Amino acid sequence: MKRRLNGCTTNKVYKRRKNKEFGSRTNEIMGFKDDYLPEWFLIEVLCRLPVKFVFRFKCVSKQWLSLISDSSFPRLYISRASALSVPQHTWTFLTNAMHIEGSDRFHFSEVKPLDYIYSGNLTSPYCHVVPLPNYHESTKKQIYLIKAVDNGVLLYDRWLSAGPGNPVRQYYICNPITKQWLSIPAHKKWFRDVSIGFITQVEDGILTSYKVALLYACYDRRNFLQFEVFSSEMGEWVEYTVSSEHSVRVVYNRKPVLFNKNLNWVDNALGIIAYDPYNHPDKFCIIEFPADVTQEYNNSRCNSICCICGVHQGRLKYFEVCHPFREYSLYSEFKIWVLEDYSSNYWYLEHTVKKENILFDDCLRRNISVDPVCFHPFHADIVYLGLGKILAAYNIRTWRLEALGIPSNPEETFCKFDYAGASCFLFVLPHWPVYIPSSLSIGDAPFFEHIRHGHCDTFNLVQGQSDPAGSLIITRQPEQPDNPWGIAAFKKVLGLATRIDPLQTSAVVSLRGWLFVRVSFERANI
Amino acid sequence: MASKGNLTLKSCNGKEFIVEEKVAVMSTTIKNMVDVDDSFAQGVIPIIGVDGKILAKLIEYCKEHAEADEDEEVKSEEYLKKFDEKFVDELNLNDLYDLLKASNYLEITKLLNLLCQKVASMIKGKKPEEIRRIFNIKNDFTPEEEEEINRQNPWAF
Repeated sequence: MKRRLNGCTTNKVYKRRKNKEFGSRTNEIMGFKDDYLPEWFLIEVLCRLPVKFVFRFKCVSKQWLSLISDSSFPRLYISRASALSVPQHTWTFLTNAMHIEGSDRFHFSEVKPLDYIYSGNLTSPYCHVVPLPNYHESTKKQIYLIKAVDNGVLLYDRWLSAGPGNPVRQYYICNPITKQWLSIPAHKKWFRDVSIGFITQVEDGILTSYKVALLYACYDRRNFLQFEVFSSEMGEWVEYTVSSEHSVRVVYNRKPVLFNKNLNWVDNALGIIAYDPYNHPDKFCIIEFPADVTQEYNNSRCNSICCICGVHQGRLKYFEVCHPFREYSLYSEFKIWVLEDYSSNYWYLEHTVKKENILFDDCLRRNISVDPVCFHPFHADIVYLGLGKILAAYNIRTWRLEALGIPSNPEETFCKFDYAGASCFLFVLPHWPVYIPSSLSIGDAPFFEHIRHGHCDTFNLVQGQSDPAGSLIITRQPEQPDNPWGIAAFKKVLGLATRIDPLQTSAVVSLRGWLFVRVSFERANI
Repeated sequence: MASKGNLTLKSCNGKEFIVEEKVAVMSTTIKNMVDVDDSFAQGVIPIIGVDGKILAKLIEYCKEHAEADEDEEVKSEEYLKKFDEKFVDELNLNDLYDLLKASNYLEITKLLNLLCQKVASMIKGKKPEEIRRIFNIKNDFTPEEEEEINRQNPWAF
């Protein structure tokens, strides 16, 4: 599909004009005839509309549907839309129970759904707080928690019981705008505490690949790290025990930051632990701390509420709330270092401010601990901090610490057991909503092992899935639509009385082509 | 016959307009014609398929913008913005449609952008059936097909 603003298409338009009389023209309609709008015109108009309306107009006619659904359209839209207007970088904070839209100043009075932010009407100064798609599930004590965000796709976990004393986590990926869900098979090992990394690859608005990397927590220093990595390509979890010549102790309670294809965790004494689950799942490297990081803060660092690493303007940054004493409310200063070059260990100190020089908003208490949340995704001078249940923005130019507002009901907004800092996830709205293709779940075998049939298994993966509502969905999606075996796409949705227990479900295909599915219903009181 | 520096444009219904060259060449199509064939610069340039009313509108727009390009002080950006707003506000759908086609044919990119923006803001937030009515599009989906498409994108409604 080519965009033609003018040039050769003009001939077509002009010829049409010359050869045909126009349809009846009143003041109410535009005079396009034969239900056909020139493609250049349609593209020019659609690229000027917020994404939400572009999706809405898919059902105008077959011409509109085929244009908008074309695989090249997202790229065209993104490039046109950003050339036409100042790209509006929209982002929000997501919390485990609610969404909070980012803006300079927050109010929590008006409630709007998250997908509202795709409608292009962003002049409202109000913040939008809405339940997550899983909210109704959560109220049934099935708590889903956001664990990571990448490219507008969320990773959730949910605790399940797989037999007495053997709980496991079930992971889901979800686009919170389109509410597409996909579940990932249960991982193998049980560890009470894990730190979770999530990497996605998106092409032309379609999720093409993802990895989930679990780092098992250990509170002693030791010479190895244990990872378990799920990749969408392999459709299974693989364990890696990576040894190191240094003894490491990762700040587990901090989510890792994705930078330069690496997941970056913080070690409490050594520096940044960089792990690349795509290319080198069997090793990690250590980027040493800046020389002027105070080693005596090691202990407070491990308690994790005092440091973050983040990415800003293409650089990795490290922020620390310095605690000379182990009392977290008695911090002495903020410091920010910038890593000059990712392949070297050269850092420079970008900012330092003593606590007594910080200008606190009146409503902020000086004597509670400060928990760094993230760097502003676009603004170089702003770091977000959690002070109890209040989110605040710290400006490194003005030294001001400004409260972003207090939710009218903090208990509802933030998870009961979490503070603002721990439960906030930065969510930068992609220009085009990421589609999670069902083909990705072939590798996932979400609820039972994927089933192979006969000799042509690559073309005939049958896949079973249970959605949150409890129905069982059995699909077959041939990789080639016109394959020589004549295998056609197939989808069957079976409504079931209650949810299926994914861990007790299995299926086989007999030689005669029968699919036998054995499901066990989830017990209501898990 | 136009004097030097002026061009004569002739609409499809025979109306002639004498315009300054700098105004006429806001249209890339006219600019190319004048550049390759000197006789156009002397004689009358037929603007096929554009009637007098629409051509007058086009010239009105190009005149303001050509002058603004030449002298930013007299016609500031703010002035132009207001002019553009007023210009599109006064158009009815027929004129908007004719102007779109004419500015596409004549390659007046600025105007084309302005008009597409106008159409976009006109249809933003509207229902699909209203879109069909505005553009005179027939719904070629069966009700089932339409329902299926909408079911896939519930967030967009």
